Amino acid sequence: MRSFLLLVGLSLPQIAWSHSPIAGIGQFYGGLLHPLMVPAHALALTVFALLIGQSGIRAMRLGYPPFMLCLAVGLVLAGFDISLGLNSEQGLLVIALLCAALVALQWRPPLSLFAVLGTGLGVLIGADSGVQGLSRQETFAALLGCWLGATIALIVVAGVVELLQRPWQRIGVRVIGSWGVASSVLVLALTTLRT
Amino acid sequence: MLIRILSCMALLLCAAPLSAHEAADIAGGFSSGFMHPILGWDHVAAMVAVGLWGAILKNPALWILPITFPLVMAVGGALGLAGIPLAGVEVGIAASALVLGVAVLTALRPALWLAAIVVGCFAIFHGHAHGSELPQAANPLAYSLGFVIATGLLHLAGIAFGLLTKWQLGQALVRAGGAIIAIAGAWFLIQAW
Repeated sequence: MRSFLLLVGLSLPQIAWSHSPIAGIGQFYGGLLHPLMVPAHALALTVFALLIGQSGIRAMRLGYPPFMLCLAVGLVLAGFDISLGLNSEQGLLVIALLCAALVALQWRPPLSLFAVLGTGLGVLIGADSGVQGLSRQETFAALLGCWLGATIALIVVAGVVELLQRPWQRIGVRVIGSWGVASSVLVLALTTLRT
Repeated sequence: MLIRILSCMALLLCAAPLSAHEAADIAGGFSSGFMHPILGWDHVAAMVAVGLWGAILKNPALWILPITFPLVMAVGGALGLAGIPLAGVEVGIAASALVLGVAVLTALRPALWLAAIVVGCFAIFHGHAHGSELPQAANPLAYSLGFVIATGLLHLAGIAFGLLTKWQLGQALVRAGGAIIAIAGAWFLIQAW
């Protein structure tokens, strides 16, 4: 019995580092990776970037500014622990579904829709990226990292997609869009049924 | 007595690492979703056959079928989630491997809309099977992304193999692949019946 207890005791120190998958990278880098580590954020950002990249430079001009501004607003609200009372995951999945469907069908929506989608996406990702139990400086670092991470991810993915002009490359983008539709529909169905 | 209490406390502490909505959940959800179609031979056979058939039918079927499949599969998955029963899901999945394998073997060339409908009908069965697993997943979104991406990559494997049809020998190889899939489908069908 004592040797069993000793074995159990020896296994306990593992718990200490299982707290975070990327322990020790700091709040800024944690924030930087946050949009990529949360599946709903990553999916919505990716398909929005695919849509913007597929639609070209004019979509970028109209989509980026509202996204970046509203992401900052959402993050500030989250930083002050002000809740918007929104179901962020469902909202993000609805936006992801819309963007992914447009990508898969290769439909060019009216340009004003990019501003609307950017606004919604920015607010929802920002408001859903709050941190708790940190000092003011650490909170600022985490939120700044998150803003930069989401913005860089959007611009890089959209930029790469915009460069893909060969027919098979455009088809590849549409295929990824169809994957986004499938995932969004399934998880939306699940969350709707649960609620 | 003290030893027993200490044992219980120690075991309870050991359970702590299981709690998390951290990235471990996401990775676990994604990998289990990713492995779900790959570890089921009936799914693998049907997905590869979709890609092979697309390659035989050539453009635009080459990409329309792999786009149609996940879109309709999601509908099947939603039906499974809603608890709407679908008669003979396993039979439908097995039949998909048989029918698509025969289509590849015989190099069947129906109209594109008909091929899309056939693939779409079978996608509902595959989606229903995946969807029923979704509520148990550690992270449903990561799980769904995993199995959708795995499904797409299996289509891609079929398309890549199907591109051998550009050569005479490759055409025979692709049709032989269709024959193997059809035989496997017949075996799955016997087991599912």
